[in-house]
Amino acid sequence: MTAPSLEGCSVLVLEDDFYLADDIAEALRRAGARVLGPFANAAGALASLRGARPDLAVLDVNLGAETSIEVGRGLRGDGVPILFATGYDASALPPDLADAAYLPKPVNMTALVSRLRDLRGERQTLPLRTP
Amino acid sequence: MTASRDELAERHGLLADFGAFALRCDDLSAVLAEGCRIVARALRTDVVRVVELDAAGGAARVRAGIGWAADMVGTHLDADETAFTVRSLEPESLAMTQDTAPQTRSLRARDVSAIVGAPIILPGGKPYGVLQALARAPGAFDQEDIAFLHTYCAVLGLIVDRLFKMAALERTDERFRLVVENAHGFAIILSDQDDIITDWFHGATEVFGWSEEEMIGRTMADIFTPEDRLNGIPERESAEARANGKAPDIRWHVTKGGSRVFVDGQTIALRNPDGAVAGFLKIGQDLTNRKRNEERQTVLLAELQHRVRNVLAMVASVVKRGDAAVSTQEFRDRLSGRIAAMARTQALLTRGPGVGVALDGIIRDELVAQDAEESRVTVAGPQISLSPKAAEVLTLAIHELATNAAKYGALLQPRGRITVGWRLDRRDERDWLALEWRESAVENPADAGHGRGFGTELITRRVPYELSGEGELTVTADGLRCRIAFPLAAGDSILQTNSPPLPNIRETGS
Repeated sequence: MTAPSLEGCSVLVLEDDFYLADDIAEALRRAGARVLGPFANAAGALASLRGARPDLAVLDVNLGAETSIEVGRGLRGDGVPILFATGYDASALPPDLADAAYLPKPVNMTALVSRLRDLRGERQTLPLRTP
Repeated sequence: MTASRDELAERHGLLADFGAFALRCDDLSAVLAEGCRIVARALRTDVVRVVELDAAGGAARVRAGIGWAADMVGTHLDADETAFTVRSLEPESLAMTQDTAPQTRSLRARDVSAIVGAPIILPGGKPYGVLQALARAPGAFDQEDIAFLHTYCAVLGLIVDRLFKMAALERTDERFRLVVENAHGFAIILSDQDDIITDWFHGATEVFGWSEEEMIGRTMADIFTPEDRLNGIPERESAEARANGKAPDIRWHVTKGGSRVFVDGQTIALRNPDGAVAGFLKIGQDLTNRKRNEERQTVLLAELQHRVRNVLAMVASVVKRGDAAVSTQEFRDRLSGRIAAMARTQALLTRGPGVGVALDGIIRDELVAQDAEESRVTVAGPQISLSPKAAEVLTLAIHELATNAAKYGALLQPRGRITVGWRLDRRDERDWLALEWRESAVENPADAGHGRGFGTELITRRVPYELSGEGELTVTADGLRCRIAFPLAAGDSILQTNSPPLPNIRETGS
């Protein structure tokens, strides 16, 4: 995978495993994206979101002591396409997020970039949530 | 002698009195004894007895009697008398139609010259026994006496039958009660056709907590959970029992104490002979323990799946990130060492759910794996048990430090020394672990930069990222200093051994 297909895109990464977070960030940078994070916990991600809204987000569902479900809901509400990475079945996602894009673990970096590129096209320019 | 009108009236009165008596009395012996007394009066004799015959007709036992027959109650008649008595069951037998001078020796010995008897037959035709009146004077009994005896025995047959049925019912009742009271762990509840509780046996108290007094009159719905009641589950269950005869009741219920109990049972519709529902029987077993174990197993299984996936991902990362700019042999040695260290951690973590790993154990295990001489090493710090995540990361970090010390550092060089110490720091309302690994008396410490890529990344990047802490690796003039600090998470604990609530920091010497 050589062509930068996420050029000009900012992607939030929320993943508690250091090596995987590093690999994902590296793959995204190679594809031309600007990485927000990576963050190991929801608090870190939420702090970043107060400052800027990313174009896309990659979220590990299981963050050890917590999950990324709430962060995912918030991002969706803001019109940010999200991609869940999960070691569980997609059925583990709650009903309101059951239609979200997800990637099974172990994460294939090519597939990751490809899915994000697809999601980029579906990006909303206005927030869906009414203030 | 022909009975006069007065005598007839008297007999009618005696029969009526006996009827009244029998209705009030539930004791067979008392009824039969009274019966003998009445017959004795009516027939004007002193000796009357009821002889009970066994089913085979082989043995005859005096069941009740007055006069000298009273002393015989409980004893068996001899063979001759038995045969004589049995014969009187046959219709048209002489014993029924006229008094007879008995040929049996035992009766002659009693000076009995006249004896009449009538069979007592239970509904259905089964003979119970014979009622006999005996007299010393021959011809003491006439046809009217015999007729009276027949009538009387017909009534007696009905009364005896009723008493037998009552006794059998009591025994059945008693057996039922014994079964139900002793069915521990089983709740047995009866309700009427409106599902109002009518019977609440001991097992139900064991399972649900409420006593019999508290539950009789309440609706069966009261033992269901609020959610089930809201969803109409109790009504659905009785409707299904009505329609199909029974309905399963396998769900959580509430107890008096407020806790929940898992019951595996069923509700059965009880019907009258005409088919109408008379009520319901609910019987169920308390399977809360089993249910909780099943739930726990599900959780443990999910944890296991997660851990297995996790461990494989960790191994994959360790393989991928191992420094490649080394010989294949060294790559393999390093990799094997790292996987062995991770295996040690996993072995400790999988001893049980929620188990932690002792920090000093981690350090000692890694030094032992490098065959470090005790004289070169000092390990000191309070007892701390680390959560699985901290244990996994720290084990690898210590492994890297120990491996490098053995290959290039303090464990290789003749005078090299390692000092490992840790303490608890209080920062921003949280307990932090602050650990330092110091190597000294090492010559050319800067040369030991070779092959540190994986370890350096682990200490300076992975520890801060995954443990929200700090990691620093510094080459010093005479060796190396590594500092790792991170907040102790909920899963970490300071092991307290016979100490007060506040952490009691004990130094452990090596």
